[in-house]
Amino acid sequence: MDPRETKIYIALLIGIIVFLVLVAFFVVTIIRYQRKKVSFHTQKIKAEYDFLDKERKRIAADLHDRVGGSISAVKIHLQCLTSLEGRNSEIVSNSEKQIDDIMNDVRRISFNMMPVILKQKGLDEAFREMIDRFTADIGIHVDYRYGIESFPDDKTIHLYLVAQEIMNNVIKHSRATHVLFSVSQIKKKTVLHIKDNGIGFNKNMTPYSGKGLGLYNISSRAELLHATIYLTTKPNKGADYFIEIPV
Amino acid sequence: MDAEKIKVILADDHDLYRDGLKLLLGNDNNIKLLGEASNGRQLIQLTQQYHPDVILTDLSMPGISGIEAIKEICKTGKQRIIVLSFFESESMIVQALESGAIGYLNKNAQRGEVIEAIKSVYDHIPYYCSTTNTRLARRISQSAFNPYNHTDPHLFSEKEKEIIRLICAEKSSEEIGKILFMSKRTVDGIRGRLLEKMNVRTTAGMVIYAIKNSIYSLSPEEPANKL
Repeated sequence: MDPRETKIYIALLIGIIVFLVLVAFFVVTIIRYQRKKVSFHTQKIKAEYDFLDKERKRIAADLHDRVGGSISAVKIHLQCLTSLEGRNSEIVSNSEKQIDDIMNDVRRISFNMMPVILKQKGLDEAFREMIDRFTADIGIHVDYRYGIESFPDDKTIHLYLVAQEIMNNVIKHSRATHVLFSVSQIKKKTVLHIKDNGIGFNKNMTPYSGKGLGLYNISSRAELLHATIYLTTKPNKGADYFIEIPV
Repeated sequence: MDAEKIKVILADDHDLYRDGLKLLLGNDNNIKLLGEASNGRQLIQLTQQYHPDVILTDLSMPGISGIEAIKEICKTGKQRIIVLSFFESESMIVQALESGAIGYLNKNAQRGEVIEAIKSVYDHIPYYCSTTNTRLARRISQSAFNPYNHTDPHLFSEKEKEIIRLICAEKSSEEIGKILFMSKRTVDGIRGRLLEKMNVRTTAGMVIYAIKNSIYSLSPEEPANKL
């Protein structure tokens, strides 16, 4: 073979190899970048929620300890006023009623922010309390089942708030009369299953439109649990949330 | 006449609330406040030091909590303890009763209730706050807390038992009157007599008494909180 021809072939070969290496490098870089982006995104969400949850906890505790304590102190001081007559008695009794209303509001807001019971008694008790509170004044029957032995401590708050958000949707919008609420262990996964017999909704509504904020909150919290959400719903067919969380 | 007064110790970490309570107890001639604590440890010390008749304690306090203090105090024998709860969940109230308390008061209790509770518990009669809803009453009745000895089954007439069941089913005096063809006033009168016979002070007390003594049973469709 002509040595010049050989040189051309070698040059070509080297060129191709260099090109391939460059392409491979480029592809690897893109993949790495994507992975980093995803993990950065997850970390960002986690950081945001960690911050948010810490704030919620602080506000709930302040409401509980300071505001709640002070309101009850005012009420007990009012009760020290005795032998009241006529208008004065009416004023005091009205004030006591108003204090009761404030107290109930404070109590409700604080519980919705961060239930103290979650840390004290764990998921099972906290879920029971939540269901009780949601169904206290309305005629919804909730079939509650809890069948898991444990759940990682650092993740309980996310699971709890996912469930609370779903129950919020159910109570506010579904017009359901029966709800199944179950937490179970299926193979190596924890499953949260909430199903109602209400009016359902159109899933195609974008999660970012104001109305779908609840769904957005559910899915971003679920992301922190590395959970998979299966949502089955159609207008007038109820809604079925099946959430699988790897343990 | 100090010897005849009910000797009370109170514990609460909220200064303003404790002050109010102190003032309120001071208004009553039959009650003498022996001491006040702002945490569980102080409460245990004061109890050992003064041997009060009635203890009034908050549930959540720094350091040793109310429930831990109750357990500790009751180790040396039964005491008449009333717990004060506010945001504390129902399960904490149940836990306090199971640990040895025989009464509880919500911190937004109505006028007159604090004194009523102290006098009731002093007489060894359990006190359930008037804010108690049926859900909590059922929960207490399903707990290990049972201050009642089984009573004579003939203590109540059939008519009375029927009224008890209707009260437990959250019917008002007016509704009961309609069902049983009585006036609201007659029902109210019987209700008052029943409270006396059962030696309870509130409707919640009646529900718990009725369940514990098998006069009323929970319907299978609504087992409280346990599904």
